Amino acid sequence: MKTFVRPKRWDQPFGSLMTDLDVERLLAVPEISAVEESKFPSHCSLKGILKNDTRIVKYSAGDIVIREGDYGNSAFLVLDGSLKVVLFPGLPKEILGRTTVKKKTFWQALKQFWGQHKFPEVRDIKKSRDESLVREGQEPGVVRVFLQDVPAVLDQNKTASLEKGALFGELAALGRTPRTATIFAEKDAELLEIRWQGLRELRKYDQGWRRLINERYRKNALTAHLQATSIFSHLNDDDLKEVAGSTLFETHGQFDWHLTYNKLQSQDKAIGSKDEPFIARQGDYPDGVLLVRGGFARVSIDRGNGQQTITYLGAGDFYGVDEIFRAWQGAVNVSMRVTISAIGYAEVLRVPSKIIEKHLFQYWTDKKKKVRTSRKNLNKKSKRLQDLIDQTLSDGALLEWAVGERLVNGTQAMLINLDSCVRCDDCVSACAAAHEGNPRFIRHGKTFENWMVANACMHCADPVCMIGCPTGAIHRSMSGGMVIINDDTCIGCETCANSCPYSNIRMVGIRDNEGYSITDPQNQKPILKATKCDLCADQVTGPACVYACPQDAMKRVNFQETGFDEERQGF
Amino acid sequence: MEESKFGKDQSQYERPNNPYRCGRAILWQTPCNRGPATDGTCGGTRECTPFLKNDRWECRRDKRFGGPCDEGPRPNGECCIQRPACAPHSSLRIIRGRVTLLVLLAVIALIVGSLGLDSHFNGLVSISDAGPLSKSHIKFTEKQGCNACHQAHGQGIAEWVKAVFRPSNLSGKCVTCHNFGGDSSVAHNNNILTDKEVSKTQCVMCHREHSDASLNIRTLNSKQCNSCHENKFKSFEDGHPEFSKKYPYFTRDSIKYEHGSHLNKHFDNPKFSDKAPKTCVDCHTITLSDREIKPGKYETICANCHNSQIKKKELTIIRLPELLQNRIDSSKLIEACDFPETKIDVEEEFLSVSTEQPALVSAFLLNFSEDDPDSYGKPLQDLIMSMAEESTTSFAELIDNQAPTPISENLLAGLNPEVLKRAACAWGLNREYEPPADPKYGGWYADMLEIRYKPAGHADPVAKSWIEFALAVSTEKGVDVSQSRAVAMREQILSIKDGVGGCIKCHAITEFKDTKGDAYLTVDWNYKNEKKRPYVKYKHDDHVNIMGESSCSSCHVLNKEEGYMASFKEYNSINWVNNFKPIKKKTCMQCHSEDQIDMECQTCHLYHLKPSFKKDMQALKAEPIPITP
Amino acid sequence: MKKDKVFRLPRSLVYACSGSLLFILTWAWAVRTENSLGISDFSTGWVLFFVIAFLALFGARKRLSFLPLGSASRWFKIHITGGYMAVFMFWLHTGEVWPSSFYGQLLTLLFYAISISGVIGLLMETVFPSQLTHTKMEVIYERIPKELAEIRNEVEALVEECAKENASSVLAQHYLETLRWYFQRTRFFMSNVCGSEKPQHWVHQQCIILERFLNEKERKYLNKVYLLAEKKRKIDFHYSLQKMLKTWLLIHIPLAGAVMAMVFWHLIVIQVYFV
Repeated sequence: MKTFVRPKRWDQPFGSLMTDLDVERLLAVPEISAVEESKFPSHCSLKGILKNDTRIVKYSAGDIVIREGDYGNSAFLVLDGSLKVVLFPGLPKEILGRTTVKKKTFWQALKQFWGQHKFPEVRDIKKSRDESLVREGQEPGVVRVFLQDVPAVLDQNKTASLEKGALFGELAALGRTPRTATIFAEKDAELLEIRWQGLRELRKYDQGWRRLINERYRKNALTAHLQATSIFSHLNDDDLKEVAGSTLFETHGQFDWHLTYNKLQSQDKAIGSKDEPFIARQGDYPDGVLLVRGGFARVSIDRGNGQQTITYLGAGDFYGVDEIFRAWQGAVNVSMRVTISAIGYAEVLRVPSKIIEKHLFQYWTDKKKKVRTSRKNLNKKSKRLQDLIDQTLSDGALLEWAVGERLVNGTQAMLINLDSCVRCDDCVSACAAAHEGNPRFIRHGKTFENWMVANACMHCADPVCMIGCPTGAIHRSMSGGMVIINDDTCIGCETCANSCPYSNIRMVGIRDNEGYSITDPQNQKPILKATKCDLCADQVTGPACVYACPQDAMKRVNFQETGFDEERQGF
Repeated sequence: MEESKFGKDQSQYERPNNPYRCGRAILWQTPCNRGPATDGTCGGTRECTPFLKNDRWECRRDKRFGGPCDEGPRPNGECCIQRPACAPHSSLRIIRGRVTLLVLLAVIALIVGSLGLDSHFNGLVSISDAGPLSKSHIKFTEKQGCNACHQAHGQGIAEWVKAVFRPSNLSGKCVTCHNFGGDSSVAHNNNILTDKEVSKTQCVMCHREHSDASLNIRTLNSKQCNSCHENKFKSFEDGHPEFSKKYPYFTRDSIKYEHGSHLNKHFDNPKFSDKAPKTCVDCHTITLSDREIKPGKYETICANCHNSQIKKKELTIIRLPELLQNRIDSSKLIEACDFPETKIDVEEEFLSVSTEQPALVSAFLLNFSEDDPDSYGKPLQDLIMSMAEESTTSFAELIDNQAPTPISENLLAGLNPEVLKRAACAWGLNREYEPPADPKYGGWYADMLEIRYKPAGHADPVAKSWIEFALAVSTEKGVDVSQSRAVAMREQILSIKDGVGGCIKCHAITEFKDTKGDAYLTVDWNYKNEKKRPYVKYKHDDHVNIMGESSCSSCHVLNKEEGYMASFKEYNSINWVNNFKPIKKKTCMQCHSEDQIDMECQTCHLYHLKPSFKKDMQALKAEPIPITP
Repeated sequence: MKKDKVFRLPRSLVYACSGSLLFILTWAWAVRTENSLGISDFSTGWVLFFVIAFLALFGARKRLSFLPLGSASRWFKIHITGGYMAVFMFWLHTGEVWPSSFYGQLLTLLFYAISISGVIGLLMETVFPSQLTHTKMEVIYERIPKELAEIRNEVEALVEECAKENASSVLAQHYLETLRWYFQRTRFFMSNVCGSEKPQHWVHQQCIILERFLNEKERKYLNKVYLLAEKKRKIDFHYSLQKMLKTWLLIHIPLAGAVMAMVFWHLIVIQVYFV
C-alpha cells in the first residue's frame, strides 16, 4: 500500500518564486499598506496570503495580460508601468492568439484503447508529484501572447489607460464570468497577480478593499455590461456614461444559493416559485429595461394558482424593450406581459424608460436603415415572446420543471430521452474508455416525463462548485468554457463536491498501478480526488457519451436553446 | 430510485469494465460496499482496514458507507464487521465475450472435424461440399469424390495454400470426358472469326455445378448469347436476322421430282390414283426425324408407278444396218456358225435385209458415221464376222479400248455369248434373227436386227454402267469428230424420253470442274444429304406431332413458278429453281412470337460443335495370362 | 426548452432508399455479369461480404467511441439498413432460400438466425424503452439486487413491527407463506416481458385477501407493505425488460462470431476449389 502525505491549501503557492523579501516589498505598496494586518486570522495571515495567493509578474510592452472572453481566476494590481484597456468592440480573435484545449491526435486517441486500467482510479503519483513543481509560475520560457502592432491597435480601437495602483480583473475573478475586455501592457509593466482565493480573503477581512471592490464592481461591471448589450452597442462614451449613471443596480436572491437549494427541493413545488424574489410583476407598469448581469431570472405568467414558466433569462439577456416601445409609440395601458423573478440568485440592471427612449428609440428613428432591421428584429422577438406565452401547459412543462430544478444553470446538461434509451450503458462505457477506464458520470438522475437529466457535470453558467476550491484545481478552461478539475492539484477537500447542488461531482479513492489504495501514511485514510465530467475536452470526438449512444437518446443541452438563433434572448 | 439516492455519498460510479459482480448480489442479497476485487476474490470480507494510532486501533470505514463504526476494531486489529466471502460471478460483458469465443471455437472445431471425418461419412457432413451434382455427374464421381474435379481436395494445408494462388482449371477437367469438334476453350468450339480477337471461353461460364440434382445445367438465356454476338437483338421476333435466301433448300435435288405435277396431275390420274400417296408422310417419313427429312426409298415410294417405265426403255448396242454389199466370207461364216449346209447360196444381187442405221453405240465404238453406208459397211461386217467367230470378245475389246481400265465386264454384264453369235450368224446370212421367245424377263437379247439390253428394274447395274460410260467418254462438247459421236451416243443414252432404263428422266446430272479445271458430268444416283449445319437444330417430328400430318404445307409451300425441271438442263447445281418456296422467318413466327411460343436461342441453335464423349467403346481385351516360373 | 419532436421518418427513409439503391445496383451488376457470361456470384458475393463485415464491425465501433469514426447512432442506422439489405443480398447471391449442401445449410441457418435475432432485438429496442419509462421510475440494472434487499428488509421490519404491536400474526404468517417468495428475488419474468398485467393483479390480490383479517392499525402496515410491493413490482418490470435487452445481445453477438467464421471458411473454400 502506497502512502502519500495529504496535501494542504498552500502546498501549491500561486507563485513559486515569491520570497519573504517580495512580501516585505508588497507591504510597502500603498494599496496594501492600508490594510490592517490584525484583522486577518492566523491560519490566513496577510503575509501568508501575499506569499501564497499572489505573485509578481512582469510584462513587456505589447504583452497581453488578460484577453476578453477568457475565464480568469485572478485580479491584478499595477505595481509599475502602464497598461491599456481595449474597449468595445475589442480586438479580433487572431490578434489575441487564442489557444484551445489541446485535443488528442488520432493516434493518441487510439492508444487509449490499450490504456484502460484493470483497477479503478489508478494514478501515477510519482509523476504527479514531480510535475507539480513545474506547472505554473514565472519560470523563463513561459509563453505570453502579445500584440504585434501596438500603435495600430491604439489607433483603431478605443482604449482606456491603467496606471500604477490600478486594480483590474477582479470582476471576472469574483463573479465567475469571462473577462470583459482585453488589457495589454503599453510599456513594460510589473503587476501583482492576486488569485481570487486571496482576493476573497482580502475582501472578507479588510473594509477598504471591500468597499473598493464593491464600488468598482458596480461601476465597471455596469459599463462593461451595458456596452456588451446589443441595444447599447451604438452609444458613444458620453451617452454610455449617462446611461450607466442612471442605471439601477439590483441583486436578488443569494450569491450562494446552492446552500439552500437542497432544502428548497423538499418543499411543495407550487410554493417554491412563489417564494422567489420578484424583479418585476406581470401587470406592472414597465418602468425600464431589465438586463440580467448574472444568475438567472424566471420569466413566467400567471396561471391559476401558480406561475407558468415560459422561459428564463441568463447573463446577457434583457427584457422590456418591446413594452416600452409600444408605450412610446402611443399605445395605452401598456403593462408587463410577464413576471420576472430571480431563480436562486440574479444580478439585474434596470435602465429607466426615459433613457431608453432617448438613446435607443431616437437612434432608431434617426438612422432609417437601422430602424428597419432593428424593428424587424423587435417584431420577430415580440412574436416569439407571444408564442412562448401562448404555448400550452404541456409544451412548457419540461422547461417549467427544468427551471424549478435550477437545471437551467447548466450549459451542457446531459439529457437522456428515456423513450429511446435502451439502458445499454454504452454511454458509461464510452466515458470510461475515454478516461482510462473510469467513468465520470452515473446514468441516473432527476426525471421528468420521458426526460432524464443524468448526474453528469452540466458545466454551469454559474459554477458554484468553483466558489470554495482552495487551490483552484477546479477551474474554467481557457477556452471552451467547460469546468475542469485539475487532478494533480486537487487536494480532495470535497468542497466542490459538497457545493454542487446537483451532486455531479464525486470523490474517488485513488489507487496505484497494482490496484492498492493510496493512503495517507499518517492516518491511513485513503487519498481522495474530486472527479466529474470534463466534456471530453481533450478527445477528438467531443463528448464520448453522445458519440457512443446508438439510439440517439443522449444530448448535452443548454436549456435555453431556442432553436431560432444563437443570439442572446432579448425581448 | 429515489432522488435522495443520487447524492455524491449515496451513489458511486458504476464501472462497466469491472469483470466481476458481487456474489451476494447474484443471490439477491445486499451487495457489500466495496465490490469484488479485480482478481475475482470477494472484496467485502471486512468493512475496513483498521489503523493503529497511538496503540489504539481505529476504524477506517469510508464515510460514504457510514463512517467509523460504533464498535470499532477488535483488539487484535481485525475489523469487527466480517463476512464470509462471496463468490463473485463474471459480469455480463465477460460472459458475452466467453460465449462468443466458445461459439467461434465450436464452429472452427466443426469445420476442422468435418474435414477429418468427411471421407467416412461420404460427404454427409462435409463442410466443403457445395451441393449435389447434376444427374449425369453424380455416379461417376462417387468413388473419386471431390478430387474428380477439384485438385486440392483432401491434399493438406500446403496444397490448399498453393490452390489459392493457382487458378483452378475446372474447365480443363471437363474435357477429360467431353469432346467437341474443335477447341473446347473457343466460342462454339470453332475459330469462326479468325480476324477478330475473341476471348477464350470456359466451361464454367455457362455450366454451373453443385445446384439442384435435377437442374439442367445446359441452358443459356438469350441475353447471354447476345453478349458475344455483335448483332444483338431482343428476341426472335424483334431483330433476329431473316433466314438465308434458299433456306432450307441449299442442295439441288438429285432426283428430278416435280412435286407440283405429281400432286396436281399424276396422282389424280385414275391409272395411278390407287397407288398414289395420300399425304406427304406417305413418301417422307417424319417419325424420329430431325432437320432433314429424306424421302423413302425408290422401292417404297416410286416403284409402284415407275417400275413399268424402266423396263420399257432399252439400249441398242448393235444394229444391222442397211448394207450395200456382202463382205462376209460365207465359208468362214459356215464354219463359225456351225451351219449344216456346206454352201451358202449367194444371191447375185445383195439386198440388205435391214434398212436401218447402225446403233450410235456401235458408231462411237467403231468410229464410223452412222449415216454413211460406205463408212460403216466394212467395220460393221467385220464386227459381225468376229461376233460369229468369237462372240463377245471383239466387242468387249472395243469397249475396253475406251477406258484406262477394263470396263466391259460392267457394261456387258449378263451378256450370253450365244446371243451375239446367233445374231451374227443370222445377220451374216443377211437374214433377221428370230428370237426364240419374248424377252420379257430383261437382260441382253438379240431381236431381229438388234442386240438390245432390257433393264431388269430400277438401279439396273448394266444400264447404270452404260450411262456412266457415256458420260465418261464425252467429257467435252468438242468439235472433234470422235467427240461428236460420243456426244451423240451420250445424248441417246441420256435421253429423258428414250435413254436406257429411263434413268435420266429422274436422276439429275451435275457438272463439276476437276482440279485441272476440266469440266465433267456426273449423275446424281443417290440422295444428296443436306448441308451439315452443326449449330442448327430442327425437329420435324415434334412439329408434325403437334400440327398434324397434313401440316407440311404450312411451311413447305409449292413454288408455282415453272422452271424446276428446266433448271436441270443446265447441269449447274447452283442455279436451280426449287420445287418449294424458301421458308421465311415469318413462317416460323406464325407460332413462335412474343405473345405465343417464345423462342430462346437454344430452341433452334446449338452452342457446341459436335459434342461427343471421349470414352472408347472397346471390347474387353483378355488379360494376358501371367507367366508363372 | 423546445420539446424535441423526434421526427424519425425522413431520416429512416433516406437510409432505406440508400440501402435499396445499393441493392438494386448490385442486382443490376449481377444481371449484367451473367449476361456477358461472367460469374455474378463474385460480384454479389464480395458486396455481401463487405456488407456483413461492416455489420460485424459495429461491435468494434462500440468499443472505440473515442475515435472519430462516425457517431454510434449513425453506425446503428446503417447497421439496421445493412442488416435488412444483407438478407436480400444473401438471396441474390445464393439464388435460393435454402441450399442443399451441409455447409451451405449451416451458413444459411446461422445467417437466418442472426437476422431474425437482429429483427427481434430491433423490435425490443423500439418497444421496451417507453414501457420502462411508463413505470415512472428508473433503476440501474446492476443496483437491482441492492434495491430489492432494501425493500425486503423494510418489509420485514414492518411485518415484525406490526406483529409486535398488534400481537397478531396474520400479516407475518401471510408474509412467511406467500409474500416472502415474492420479495425474495425478482419474479414474474415472462409476464413482464409479454406485458401482461399478471404481476399487478397478483400483488393486488395478495393484499386484498388479507384485509378482512386485519384491524385498523394492521391495515396501515398492510398499506405500507402494499406500496413497497408495488415498488418492487416496478423494479421487477425493469429487471425483466432490461435483462432481455442485455441478454439478447448474448445471442446476437456470438452468432455474429459464428457467421463470420463460416464466411471466412466460405472464402477459403471458394478460393481453393473454384478460383
